[in-house]
Amino acid sequence: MTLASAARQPTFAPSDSGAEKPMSAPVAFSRGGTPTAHASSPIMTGAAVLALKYKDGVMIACDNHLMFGSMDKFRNVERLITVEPATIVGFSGDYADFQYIKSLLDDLVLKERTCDDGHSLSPRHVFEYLASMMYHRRNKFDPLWNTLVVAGVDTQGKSFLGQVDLRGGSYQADTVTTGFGNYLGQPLLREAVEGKIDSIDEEAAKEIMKDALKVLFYRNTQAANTVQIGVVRRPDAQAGETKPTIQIDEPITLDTEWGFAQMVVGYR
Amino acid sequence: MSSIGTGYDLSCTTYSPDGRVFQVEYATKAVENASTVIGLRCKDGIILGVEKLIVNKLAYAPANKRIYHVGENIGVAAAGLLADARALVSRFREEYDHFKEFNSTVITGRVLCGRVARFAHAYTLHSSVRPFGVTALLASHSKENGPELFMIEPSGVAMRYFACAAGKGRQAARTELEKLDWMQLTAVEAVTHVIRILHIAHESNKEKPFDIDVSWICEQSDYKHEFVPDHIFQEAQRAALEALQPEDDFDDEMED
Repeated sequence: MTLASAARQPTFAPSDSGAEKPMSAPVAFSRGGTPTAHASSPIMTGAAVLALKYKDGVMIACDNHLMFGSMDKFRNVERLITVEPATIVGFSGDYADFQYIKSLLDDLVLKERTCDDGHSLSPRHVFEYLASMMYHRRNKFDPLWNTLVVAGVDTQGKSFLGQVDLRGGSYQADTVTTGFGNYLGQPLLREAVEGKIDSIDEEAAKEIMKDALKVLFYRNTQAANTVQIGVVRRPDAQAGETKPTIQIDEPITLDTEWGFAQMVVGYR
Repeated sequence: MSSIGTGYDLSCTTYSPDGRVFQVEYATKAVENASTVIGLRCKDGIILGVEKLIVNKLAYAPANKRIYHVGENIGVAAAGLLADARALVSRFREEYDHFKEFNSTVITGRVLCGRVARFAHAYTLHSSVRPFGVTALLASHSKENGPELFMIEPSGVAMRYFACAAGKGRQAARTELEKLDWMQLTAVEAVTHVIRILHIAHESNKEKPFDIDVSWICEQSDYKHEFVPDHIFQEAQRAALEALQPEDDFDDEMED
């Protein structure tokens, strides 16, 4: 190989020729000669999750669809999972990553159970576990592409509601939203919930949720109108209950009104 | 033939001249002296029961466990050396986890039993290790196979049973188990029988105080392996002692 042809060789092309190699600045390479790359965008995605605290516990809701880009690909997917004994986890973002997270949580629940030491996983434990795990993955530059919502009732009977994002950032609040829900849902939930938690019963909470989900469906192309609502209720001491109850309802279809669309410029 | 056997019991790599592996038999002996464990399959579930001798009144009672969770729908009760039992149970759990990770589904009782039995058997093949001093009763429930009960012995022999017992009171327990029409028993009835039989099996060891642990997998436990809820256990215990009364004198204990 002449010097001239060596100079024309692209700096980052893999080369096994063994002849004079071009000088280049040190770059982090994997063995194949190209920089290590991990997933840089989600594939099958879930849209917004909404959650709020109310008088008797916490409520979490999201639609049942998965998008492939902007294509509404799967229409009957449960996006809420229970983590025994008193937690529901919901997600937006990549579904495959969430399935992996689900398997991690299943293992966590099983380990806790086999210990058989009288303790159980409270939502706070699940939350801290997920936050550590997501932060660990972002440190590996290989994040799990999800925003997770953790809702539940702890061993003291207190409501817990928190969010963990794909960088491991986490917070707790009385109302939590993800994705487009941050813009469209959060203000509605805050308006309805802040300072009024103790006066909102389950029926009222459900109505707040449905309203917010409806707005999401109207305004966000990626939101759907088949939705699922889950609740974790605090134990009712007066009824003799000692443990929280988890309930994830069957999917419902929101009633929406599109008649006004005729008036909107550009609709037809 | 009395001299036969001497000198052949130091390692399980050597048979005695009449074809026995003494180390395995000694391990079996360790189980035969341990507290009784029984398992019973019934119409709609499966029950494990253990007798727990109270060796030290100052010991923290719940720490002395002989029934272990392996997976959601699988439990193990062990008779024999407790420390060996823990080692074997951790193997049960490893096999369960590995199978789940590899196949994305839960291992069946039969496969788990086979794998752990092979593991136990491996400990009867080398001079550098000793066999497990444990007989393990494996209870499992799956949609496909229903309730299943297996017993793994120190030799690595494993079989499926409808009812089985191990430990000191095994003979008495087996005699009682054989009298039961297990296919007609409901889980709650079976718990009563298990407790009753454990009391009978304890006869030979009468001077020692003991506790009973009972776990089950059935509809009431949502087909998960769980300890029998306290109120059901207490009621079963009362019924069991009552059933024993005509032939045995349990008056003292009843009034306590």
